[in-house]
Amino acid sequence: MSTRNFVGIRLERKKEASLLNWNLKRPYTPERVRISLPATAYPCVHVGNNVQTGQKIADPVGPGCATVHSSMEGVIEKIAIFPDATGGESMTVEVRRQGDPKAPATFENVRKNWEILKEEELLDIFQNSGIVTTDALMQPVHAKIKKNEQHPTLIINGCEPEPYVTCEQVLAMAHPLEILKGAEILKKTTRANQILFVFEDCNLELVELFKSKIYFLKWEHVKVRTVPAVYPQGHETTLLQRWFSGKEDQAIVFPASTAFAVYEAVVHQKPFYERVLTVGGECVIEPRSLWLPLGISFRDAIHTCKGVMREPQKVIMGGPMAGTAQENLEVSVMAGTNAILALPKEVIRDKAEEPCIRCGACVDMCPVSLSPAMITLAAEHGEFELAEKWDVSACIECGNCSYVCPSKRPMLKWIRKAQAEMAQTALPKSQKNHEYAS
Amino acid sequence: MNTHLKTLSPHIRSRDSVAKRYWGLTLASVPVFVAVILGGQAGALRVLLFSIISAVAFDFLGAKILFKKERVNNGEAVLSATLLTLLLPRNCPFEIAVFGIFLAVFVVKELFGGTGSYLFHPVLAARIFLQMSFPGFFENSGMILEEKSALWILGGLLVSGVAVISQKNNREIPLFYIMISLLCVLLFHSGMESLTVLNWIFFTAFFLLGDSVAMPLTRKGTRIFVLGAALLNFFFEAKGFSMAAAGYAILLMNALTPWLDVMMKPAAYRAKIHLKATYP
Repeated sequence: MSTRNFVGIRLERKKEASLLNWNLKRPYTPERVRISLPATAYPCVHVGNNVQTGQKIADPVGPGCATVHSSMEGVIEKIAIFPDATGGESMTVEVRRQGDPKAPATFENVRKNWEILKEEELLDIFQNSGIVTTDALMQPVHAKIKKNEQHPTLIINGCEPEPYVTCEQVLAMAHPLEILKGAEILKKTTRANQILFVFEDCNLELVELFKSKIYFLKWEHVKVRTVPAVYPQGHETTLLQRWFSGKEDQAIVFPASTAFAVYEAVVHQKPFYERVLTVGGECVIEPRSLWLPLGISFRDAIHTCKGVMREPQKVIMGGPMAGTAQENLEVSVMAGTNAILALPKEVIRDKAEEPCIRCGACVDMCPVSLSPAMITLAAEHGEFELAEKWDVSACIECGNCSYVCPSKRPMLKWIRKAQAEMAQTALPKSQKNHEYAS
Repeated sequence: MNTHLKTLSPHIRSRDSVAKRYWGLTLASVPVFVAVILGGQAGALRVLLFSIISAVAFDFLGAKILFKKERVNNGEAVLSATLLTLLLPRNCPFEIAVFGIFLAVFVVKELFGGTGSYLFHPVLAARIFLQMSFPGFFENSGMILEEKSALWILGGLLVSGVAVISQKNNREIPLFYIMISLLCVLLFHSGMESLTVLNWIFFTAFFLLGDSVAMPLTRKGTRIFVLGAALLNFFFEAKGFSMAAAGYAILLMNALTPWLDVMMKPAAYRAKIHLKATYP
């Protein structure tokens, strides 16, 4: 294993603030939730219908999509297209609460015989409980598993290389056994031979906790491994690169919180309608990780953490390295939202762009061995094919190059532009559309 | 409804900056100047003063004439002035220094595209042009870094070297250069004054190779660049060249840089499953 696999930046982690409030609370229901549906789901409720917590509100259209469930008890107010937090627009179901805030619903009923369910039954449960991966890609779990006949290794990812974000860590500390059982259920469906739990090497208490649980369970097919706590080591791609370089289809990666959602869906018959996420950043009064219903607006989510103490310059969905900045706070929490961060001006440190001095820092720090300086120069001059010759399409958009650049060049912007342009030229002529968002 | 900044990721940036790099290198040269004064060459300070003033002026005016944004604040002009002063002969008239600065800052740097775009190391190119223009003067007078006060300057250079090497991102190049050069000198030493040789090796390693613009991007490419520069330098010296040998070696390797960049293109990691870290 070459040292190239360990490329990463040791960022300031800034996780202490949200770890101070370590207990996972479930706040009372908000006034409204806006649940955005994936493109392949169709709403099966009408405006004015009463819905219960966890009730199905959208059916999957194809086999590659999961159902969507209401995250709150209330009345359907609108079914319309709203802007979502990823920057696009999507069909959205708005549920409004009737009456006073209520305590969130609980699902205590244990499914009978859940331990002897078969693969197909489990995959059906995944689809009908609306479980999607809780990372940025938000793939339906059953579809991700069905892509391959067999995945010899199942990786449960408990790493959070991004600063501020602590949701996986807090959830794994609070519910290790549930995550282990969820991983066991996932192992059955993926036909895996072994399970790898991956944590960052600085989260030693998490590593020890899981090692001790695995020891007492006497599960010899489960192993705990660590990766260095540098960004982006711990992202799905880098985990596959680290241990399965060249044979990535031999392994399948799920975040630890997805394993927990699987456990709850299979054992407690609870659909996927809420997730643990971190509300943090220097501007939030009480930064913490907590359970929030999907569809709660960013404004309500920050309000649940006692609001902001000063006006943030940026509000970000996800971590500060790969997240998406939000213009307004009416957008809602999605399945892949692992954090809502309100960052002040001095953390953002926006500076004017300068010419590249070819220092090579971006080349040193690229986890997939690209030459971002060259790609950026090519893209700036409109030479998108030259950018492709320098492997722009292999970029995983981790943002390391833009972070380290001493000239503060917006490398990732140009890389995305080149990728969009190459995707356009790959299309047949009739579908060409030269207006893309930069 | 309050609106916040909506820009693309990443939303945080490192504290590194171009100005920090250039001013850092300029500051690292202070011990050398202290050593120059202690070695009895206080006249160099007058040349330095003229160089700095003219460098800032040429940088500013050059950018204005060519309708570009002036970047005097990033310290590149001052760094060029500092390095050129140290490369001049003792008791150099300031007109020659100002002419050299004009060549370095305006001709070689600004006319070739300004910060980050030039092909050859501006200071070395200017220094070699000066030597070709005034061959008699340059051959008959000793350099600032040589002979009389060489021991003082060696001390200054070592202090500077510690300052340069204490920064993590410019550790590899100087050490690699020093290693190869010392090896060459030890193996094939050809009757040169050893103290002067050491001074030139250290000065090249810490200051002349600190300019990343005309050097390759990748580590591999940089290593080949440094190896080539060291070997060529030694080869020229052995053939009886003057102390511009280091300059010729680096300029020749500068010319090879675009080729090295393409040849040493890193092999990209292409996963079978291509996943992005950002939201779709």
